[in-house]
Amino acid sequence: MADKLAIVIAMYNESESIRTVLESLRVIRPDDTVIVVDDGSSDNCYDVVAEVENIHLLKHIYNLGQGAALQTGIDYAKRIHMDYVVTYDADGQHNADDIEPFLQTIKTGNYDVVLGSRFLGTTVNMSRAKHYILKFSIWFGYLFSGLKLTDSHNGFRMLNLKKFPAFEMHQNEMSHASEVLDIIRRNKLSYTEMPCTIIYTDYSKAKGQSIFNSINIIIEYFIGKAH
Amino acid sequence: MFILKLLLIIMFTFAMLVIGLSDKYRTYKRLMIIGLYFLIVLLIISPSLADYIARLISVEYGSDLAVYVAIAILVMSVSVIYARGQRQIRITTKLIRELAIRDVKKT
Repeated sequence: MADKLAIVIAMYNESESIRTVLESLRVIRPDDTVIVVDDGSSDNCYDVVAEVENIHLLKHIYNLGQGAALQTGIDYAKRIHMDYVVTYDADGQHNADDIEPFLQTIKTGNYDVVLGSRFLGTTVNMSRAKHYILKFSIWFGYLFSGLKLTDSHNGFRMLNLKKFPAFEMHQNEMSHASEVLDIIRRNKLSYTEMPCTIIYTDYSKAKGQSIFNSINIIIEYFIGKAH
Repeated sequence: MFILKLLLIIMFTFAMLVIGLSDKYRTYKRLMIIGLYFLIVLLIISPSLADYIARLISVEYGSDLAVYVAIAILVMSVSVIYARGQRQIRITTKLIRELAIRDVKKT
């Protein structure tokens, strides 16, 4: 039986970009299950997705955060017996062509997690400030997780639910990316990094994380660890 | 003497972070807050005892010690309330998640 891959997309007020993202996925990955979780959006992105065929569409009745929305998608993927999950951005930053190499790697290497790295791959229009913040996050991730990575805060990652079905993030907001590293360390999961492409458009930069939000991410991460 | 104060601050900070913010150790949290409360009552009732204890831990006056203990009660209480809030967030997240999964729409 063919392995089943779910593409999980957390969406918050992405009415401008989500249709293009989904249509591109449908062309490049027609056989995969696409799961979109609307994280309590106030625009009409839910209705936009509802018009695209063959999507599993979930909705949080209240905005919880990207981490929570992704975990909802992952939990749903487990319930519909998916073998692999890839987390994918709704703002067009990710490239659907990167999914197949990740899938081949996770299968042939039998990894629990394959993490995307923009520094092994390609970035388009990344600001210098973002570059330095991400480099800091690599050092931060290494300090607290012990994992030596080239990109520790990348939303493009593939999980092997067949091998590690207990994967669960508890951090609701952006610090979930750091929590993934803790999960890998605590459970001694096998992992590797693969190159991926991150495209920064004016739209995605406007929607993305501000540099100052890095401080919130660090505080949330430590408070989450205390639990 | 400064080292003793520093040690007390470190111990208290550790207690606040590990015990105060955690979901576990409910009994220890309660004992700490109740213990600190009775300590501050004792310090207020007996200023001479307050001065004696203060000198033992390198604090100049008993009244200063009473203020520090009051701050400690406040900080512990805020930590406990914050931890309770975080627990509520986790429960709410689970509920919202279950609702989302239950009401999934296949387009």
